[in-house]
Amino acid sequence: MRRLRIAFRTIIFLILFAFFHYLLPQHDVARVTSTEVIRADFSWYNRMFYAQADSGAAELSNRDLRLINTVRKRSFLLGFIPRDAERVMVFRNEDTGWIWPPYFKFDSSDLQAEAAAVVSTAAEPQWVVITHYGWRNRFFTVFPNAVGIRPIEGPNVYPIPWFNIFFFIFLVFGWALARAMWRQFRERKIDPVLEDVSDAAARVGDEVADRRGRISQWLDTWRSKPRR
Amino acid sequence: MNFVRLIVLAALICTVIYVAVAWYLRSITRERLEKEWAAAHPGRDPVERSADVEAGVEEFKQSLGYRALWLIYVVPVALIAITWFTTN
Repeated sequence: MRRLRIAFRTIIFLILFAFFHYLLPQHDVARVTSTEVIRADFSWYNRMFYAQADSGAAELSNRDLRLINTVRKRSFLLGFIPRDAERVMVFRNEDTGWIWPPYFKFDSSDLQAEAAAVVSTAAEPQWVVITHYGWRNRFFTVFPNAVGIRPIEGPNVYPIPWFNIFFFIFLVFGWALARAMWRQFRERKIDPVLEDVSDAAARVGDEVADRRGRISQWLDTWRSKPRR
Repeated sequence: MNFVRLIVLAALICTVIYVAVAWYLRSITRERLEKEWAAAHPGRDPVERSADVEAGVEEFKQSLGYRALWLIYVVPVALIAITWFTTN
């Protein structure tokens, strides 16, 4: 039972971790090498990793997808420990619109123009911080979605994830509040009702027991004890 | 159309949170008042206390802290506006 509980909690934790890792904004130090547009034909398994058509446009089964090709600085531990290594990273650039994920991004065309304005070469790099969410997966052809681009002086910039810090503080606060609310609700609304019910059940049980004959009472001694 | 969906969804979620938190605050206030009453009137029947306690809860409903619960509606709208503004 204990192991089952640990396994269950681990699975819940992993799902939540993946969910927030996909959803929350991350900052990459990178330089843009080019921008391009490809046609995207979505399949049933990678469709959910893309947003919808541009805000105000019609939703069709396939459409053009803006991409931003970059070389980014790699890091350990979700960006907390920087490294010197570099690797290419391709971002998509899509409107998230009004609903999901809640970035309320409508300016993917402008962002594409900003990205094109900071295109640079390895010899003369123009470093930028790219804010994005999502995952890159080569097997499913999935790209993280760029949300913002900010030019910086050099590659040794370590953006502090202020939003994520406040988000998790708020999450812990909300969790504590929900727990306290649930306990109060149980204490004031559910437990009194349960007590009434168990009192009534006990009264009924006494009456029934009085009417029973001796043999059935003796038989009862062989049954498991009733739960309290 | 998506905008309408956002407003309806946000209003629904905020209302659920508002109702739950408002109930919780009233409930802990009531519990506190009951305990205070019991401490101030030792040995008296708890049935007598309900009028005093309810008056206290009504008073709490007029308080600034309880009215500040409207922030449950205001803050998400402000957050959406800020996110919208910073993203675009």
